[in-house]
Amino acid sequence: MTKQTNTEAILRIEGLEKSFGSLKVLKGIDFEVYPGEVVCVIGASGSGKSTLLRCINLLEEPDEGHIWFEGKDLMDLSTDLEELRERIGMVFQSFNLFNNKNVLDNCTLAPVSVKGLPRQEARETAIRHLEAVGLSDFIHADSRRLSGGQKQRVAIARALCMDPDIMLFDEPTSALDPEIVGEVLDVMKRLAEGGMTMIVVTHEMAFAKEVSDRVVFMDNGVILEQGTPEELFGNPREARTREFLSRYLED
Amino acid sequence: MRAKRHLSNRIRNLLLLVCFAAGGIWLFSLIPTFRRAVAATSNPTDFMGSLFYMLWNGRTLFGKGVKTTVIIALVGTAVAFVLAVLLTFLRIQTPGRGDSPLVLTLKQLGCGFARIYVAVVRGTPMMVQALIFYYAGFGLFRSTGMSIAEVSKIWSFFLSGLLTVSFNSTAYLSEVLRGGIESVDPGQGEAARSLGMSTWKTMLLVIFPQAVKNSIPAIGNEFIINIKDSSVLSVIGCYDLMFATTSVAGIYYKALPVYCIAAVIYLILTLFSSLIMKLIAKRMDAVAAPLPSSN
Repeated sequence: MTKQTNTEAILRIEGLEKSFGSLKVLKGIDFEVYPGEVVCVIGASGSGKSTLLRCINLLEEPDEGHIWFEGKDLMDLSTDLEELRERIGMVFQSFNLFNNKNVLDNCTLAPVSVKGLPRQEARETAIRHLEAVGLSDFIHADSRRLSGGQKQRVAIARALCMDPDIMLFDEPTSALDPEIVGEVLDVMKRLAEGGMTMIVVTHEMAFAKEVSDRVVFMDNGVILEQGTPEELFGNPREARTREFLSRYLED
Repeated sequence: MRAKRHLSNRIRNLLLLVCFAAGGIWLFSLIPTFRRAVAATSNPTDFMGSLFYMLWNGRTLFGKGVKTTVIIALVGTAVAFVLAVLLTFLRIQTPGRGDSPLVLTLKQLGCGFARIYVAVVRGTPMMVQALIFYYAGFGLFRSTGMSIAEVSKIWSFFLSGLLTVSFNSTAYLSEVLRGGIESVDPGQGEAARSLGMSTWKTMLLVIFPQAVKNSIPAIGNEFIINIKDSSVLSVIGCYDLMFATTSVAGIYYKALPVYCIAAVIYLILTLFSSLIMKLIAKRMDAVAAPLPSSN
């Protein structure tokens, strides 16, 4: 956790609460992310990790709490949400590519329509990012015809085209079959090595171990424990964490 | 299995061929009857002869009727589509973050209006709508002090019929569009918003183009329905195919053959339209729906 000394947190969450009907999914989350940090959020299904991630860019509106991103509170009604979202990239479990656009247009739509970039510049940026994720042969392909792994790489490139300051990954490999999980994780690994600030909700423990600076374990709507991968995987403090990890670390 | 299907296809094709051949021979055998009917000076007594006689002598009326029916269905559906887009946007407004009380109230009013409009229009027969609409419009223009002749010029049977179909179809098409919007996976909307796109841009650039594409078969169906259902406009005197048919029946004092003519013309119009719709849907890569029942 060397990265947090002397630097201001890029994202700071305070007292975040969220209920769906009578079900309380987040029960007071306090959480900070520093520039360049890669944080993996792990935990059982239903522990609230995806909801936490979706609250960060307010796709899910929290009931209570504050979310400061680069000094601005997203929960403040006077905050320009769209302007902040431009700088918070997000990658979804189900890819969510725009089905009415080809690969390139998926990547240029937001830069042109939101940031107002000239089309040519947006295309060049998009092609650069698509090449970086290994899809230079698919620039004009119909996005519906791609494989899951290709779709997810397009989704990553699309988010990167907005030149975000942080990237949120919501179980990016959970909808992929095991053989192609690797191609997406490789892209994410390179992104992490390039210094991108990332929050990754994942079940890929090997990835969390290898790539993250910090691992957060969520259970039942709270952050139960967090620390470096060595601490959390090597010597978890909580019994619940040990129980959860034992199921993954058996194999 | 494959061979079986192959065989059943061949049998079907053979049957179709026989049917077409029989139909062709039948039509061919009618040529003398047709010639006789065209040359006749009074309505022949046999069914086919009478049918041809009235078709030939009433051709200008039928032509005028077909033209009106097609124009009303085409223009009516087009106008309805534009209005339906507006109505659908009212309908799908949801309370947004940081909306002022005024905006919230306006959104609720808009949504309420759209719901009531759709419920009323879909819950009443178009024939009743046509009559109410025509007489209400007539009364309205009269109340401005115009003479009956002046009103009839502006508020013609044709115009009120066209507007009836437009307003009627608006309700159905707005439900079609709403279904189309709901059929677009909400994840795409989330992705757009996560990229900083506003609700409005998300709708305009991502959701709506897909919704319209998904709706193309249903919009085509609505056009075909309008070809048929515009027949009720004859009650207000709109000179459509149905009105023309009734006129011809009145002139020659014979009903059954004329209505058979009308049925065949309507069938040709709808089959032809559904063929065109299929081609358009195929071109647009949208799934074509089968010929619809009346709504």
